[in-house]
Amino acid sequence: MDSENTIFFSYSRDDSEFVLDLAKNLRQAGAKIWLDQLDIKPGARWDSSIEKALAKSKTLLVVLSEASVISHNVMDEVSYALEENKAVVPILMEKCEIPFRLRRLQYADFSGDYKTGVKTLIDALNLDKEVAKNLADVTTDKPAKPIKKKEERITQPPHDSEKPQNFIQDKNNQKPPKTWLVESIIVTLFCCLPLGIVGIINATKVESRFYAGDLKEANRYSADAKKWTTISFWTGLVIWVLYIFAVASGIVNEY
Amino acid sequence: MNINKFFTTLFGIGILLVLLGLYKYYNPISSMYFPRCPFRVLTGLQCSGCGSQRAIHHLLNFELLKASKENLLLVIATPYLATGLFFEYLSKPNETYLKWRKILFGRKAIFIILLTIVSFGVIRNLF
Repeated sequence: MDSENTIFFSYSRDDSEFVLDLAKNLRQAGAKIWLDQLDIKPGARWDSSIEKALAKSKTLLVVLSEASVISHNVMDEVSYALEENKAVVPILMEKCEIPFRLRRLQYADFSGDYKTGVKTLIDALNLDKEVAKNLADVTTDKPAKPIKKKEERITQPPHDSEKPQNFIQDKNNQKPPKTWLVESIIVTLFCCLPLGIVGIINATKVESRFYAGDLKEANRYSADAKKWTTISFWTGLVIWVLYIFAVASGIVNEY
Repeated sequence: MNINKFFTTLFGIGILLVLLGLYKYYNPISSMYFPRCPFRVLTGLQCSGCGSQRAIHHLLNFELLKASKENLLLVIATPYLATGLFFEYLSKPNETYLKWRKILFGRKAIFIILLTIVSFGVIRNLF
């Protein structure tokens, strides 16, 4: 892997949601990034993978939040990057106490709205013109929104949701979230329950959201599918048990 | 491994084995312990799942033809569902896995399944 211009993400796991979104936008824009959650192959050693990636990267992007400024791991990575004369670009995700060592650096401010954040980030990262333009395109059609509410922005539909233009799946061979498809079918077939169909419909949504690159939504639908499959399973079971009692006691004549 | 999970799994497998045994040795049609599908009793119509009990009985006794007559959908679905369970719980993700998973269990596949289940339920009542 030639990692000449790779941007290494240093952040606290508490901010995963924000970080994954940003990483996704950057990647869509064509920037080379390295993010532990996406780029460590299953089974690879976590700590040595991080060390290697960090050593190879030229730029370290550190996401500052209340959680990350007190994280020893994050600060270790920052110190290392500074000592090795790597470019360090802080991103202010929310208002917090900026660590002493990072005060003098130009930072990208995402604590207000996302658009401003992206704009300042393009400057701070010194991105290629083309990448910068793509990044602006990826993020500007959407209304500027406070960070907390950025689901809609990400859900912005790709032209064809079937196409795996998704970077997560391609780069990392990641398994889509569980769709509960098989379980739903079994419940539908054996319990005679239309409720199982709801589970199956949710399964399609898990798939399409996942392959559209929207892991968060996919996970949400996966939870939904699980919920409906479970509900229909127990409803089916209760109906059957009641029914068997009714038949056994002669209230209902089954023929 | 989580102890609780282990026992739940064990319990589940136990119940499954007992059920399989029952269905293998008793024919639901001649035994009073297997009630008819409540949907059928209520409406007189056959749902997509009607006949699965009898179909399972025949399948467990390796009588494919008889099973198909009771519920064709179930017979077709069994190998598919087995593959699905294997994919979901036993195999590790890699490129080939993802490719096949998408073909067999992706969005398009699910739509086809939905359509099949519903139309099977409709058609079997028409003929």
